[in-house]
Amino acid sequence: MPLPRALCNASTMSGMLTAAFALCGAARADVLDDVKANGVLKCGVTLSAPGFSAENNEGKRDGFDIDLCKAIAAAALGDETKIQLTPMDLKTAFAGLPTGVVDVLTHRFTWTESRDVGGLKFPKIMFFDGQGFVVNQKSKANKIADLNNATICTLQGSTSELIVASYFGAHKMKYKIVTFASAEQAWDAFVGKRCDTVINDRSGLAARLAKLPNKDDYKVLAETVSNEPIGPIVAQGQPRWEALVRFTLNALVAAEELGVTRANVDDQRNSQNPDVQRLLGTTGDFGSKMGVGNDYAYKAIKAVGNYGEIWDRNVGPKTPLRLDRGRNALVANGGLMMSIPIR
Amino acid sequence: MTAAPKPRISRAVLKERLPGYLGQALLLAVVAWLAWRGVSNFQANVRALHLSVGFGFLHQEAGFQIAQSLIAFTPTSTYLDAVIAAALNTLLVIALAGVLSTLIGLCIAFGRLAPPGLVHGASAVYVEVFRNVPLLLQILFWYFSAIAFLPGLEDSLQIGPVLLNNRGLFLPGVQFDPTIALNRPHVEGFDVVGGFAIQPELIALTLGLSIYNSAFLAEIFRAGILSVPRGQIEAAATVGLTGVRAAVLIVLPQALRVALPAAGGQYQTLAKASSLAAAIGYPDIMQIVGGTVASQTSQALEAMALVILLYAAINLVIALIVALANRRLLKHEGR
Repeated sequence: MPLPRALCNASTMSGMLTAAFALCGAARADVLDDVKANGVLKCGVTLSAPGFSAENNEGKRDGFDIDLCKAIAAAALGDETKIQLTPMDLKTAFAGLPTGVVDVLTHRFTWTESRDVGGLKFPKIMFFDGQGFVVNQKSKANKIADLNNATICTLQGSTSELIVASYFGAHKMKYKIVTFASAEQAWDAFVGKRCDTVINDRSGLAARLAKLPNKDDYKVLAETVSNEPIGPIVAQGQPRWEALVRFTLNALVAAEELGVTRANVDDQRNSQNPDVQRLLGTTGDFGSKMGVGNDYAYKAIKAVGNYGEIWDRNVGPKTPLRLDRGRNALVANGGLMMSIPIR
Repeated sequence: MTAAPKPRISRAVLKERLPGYLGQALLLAVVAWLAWRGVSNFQANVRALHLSVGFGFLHQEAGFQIAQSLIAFTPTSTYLDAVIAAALNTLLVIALAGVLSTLIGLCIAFGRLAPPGLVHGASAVYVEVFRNVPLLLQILFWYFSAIAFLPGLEDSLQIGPVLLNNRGLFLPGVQFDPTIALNRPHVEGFDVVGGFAIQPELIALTLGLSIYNSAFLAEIFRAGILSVPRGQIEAAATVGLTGVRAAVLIVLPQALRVALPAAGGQYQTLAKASSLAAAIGYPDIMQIVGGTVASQTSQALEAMALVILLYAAINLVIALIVALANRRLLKHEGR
């Protein structure tokens, strides 16, 4: 006799993972069935990362990650407004996914071997990032080598901690680290000069700097110390759900490659291009094999536009973040972003 | 003294107690059933999710650094070392805050018992302010105001051989090599070299925990002191004990008997509240084991179980100490 779901969710949210595992009924049978039964897609998102997941002036959360959640909701339920966003930190996020508190994490987590082997599946990389350091404009440090003996602020349990350890270790440099439960507090402590530098994904640094009134007082060191492949996460053991998330995300990239946009997607359904036909489900039956309509990708693109549109709307040059595409440009434009063939 | 004859339970008494026994048996059965359901559910879920469960990871290299450690800890240390270092950090802050909050609590308790005036009023305000503001807020306040008001590394305050800046309080150490000398801390590049460092995170957390808990302890102590009959103090005066001597020899031992159980609970609250350390970057159990270790190993289940186990152990030890102290006190009174 499984206990009420609410109790299970409450115990998972409060970090009592062991209790949640013991109390709650069997692990979820099928996530897509659950999502359809609930009529809502539950996404775990970052607490606050401007451009990616943050509350706008109307108090509604939007951003790059939120658009990915909307795209998956549109594909699974046919309605991008049927989403339930749960801001989660690292602890609750990794515990909440397998226990069903959320269906997918559209978060800022890096795909690493330990996370993958540990049961977290990353269907598709949607953001190629790398970690960098920010220092005070007046700092003596102009490159990472100058940071010997520096005190570093960062988020606890993040990949940054390991990157710092391995990078400084490899270069025989010493450091002190102060780690915080939230990225915001780590950043506050750095601004308060508790630390000489703060390390994070470059996109995260840009997001934080964009919020500061005196952002010119800080400089981002040129070197990138790591590769950070970032994308949504699903629990392992759900091949059908994992495939749906993967190919919904993939469709957003494919749409950009094929010139399908939010505005022209309706016209493109009449396209004679076989690639576009398969993408939008006017031919083929990929959708029904995954338990949704064959037009799932059409619905996702109709909801949020293609990858380039999502980028420009949330983090692109016309936003406070002013990120250029860099590594995230399409392969055709010299970047790393490409779609898995839809055939 | 002869041993009391063993009371025999008569039929009537048994009849009276039977519902109670049945109730307890039923409760036991329910608890056992819940436990059995829990364990079997747990096993089924772990199998269904293909999770690998175990504590083997504790012997792997941790690969991260801990800002403050009472044992030698480098990135090549194991996860087990990290757990130990984190537990010691938690114990350190509990011990420091426990002692400090007791001292402050005693002062405030006597302050509130003083005749109406400045001391009395200030003590009352202290209790009401610090008891009614959430602890997390207080800790964040102490931490971020310490960082904001203390000078940066370049403008460190030099007080004799002691160095104070927003990286912490640096005390001089004694060096034995090559000759015995005072090891004065001094700024070198990004760092303070030499001496002994106390980090602002430890200071802020100790302050926050001490001040918050001292407000509760003060009230507990005050209640204890008020429970001592006035005649005891008057009797102390007639045998020539006054002031501090009367307080220490006559009032406090009797007050302690009343205050100890409640104070024990407050110390347990303090121990658990120390887990708020994670908010300000103090490397305690919650932060290191529940945060870094859990996420880096992806063994969230085991890490959280360790966290629960460690806090439960710490609190059980506190309860044990309080119980032993209580027994001693009662024994002393010949009860």
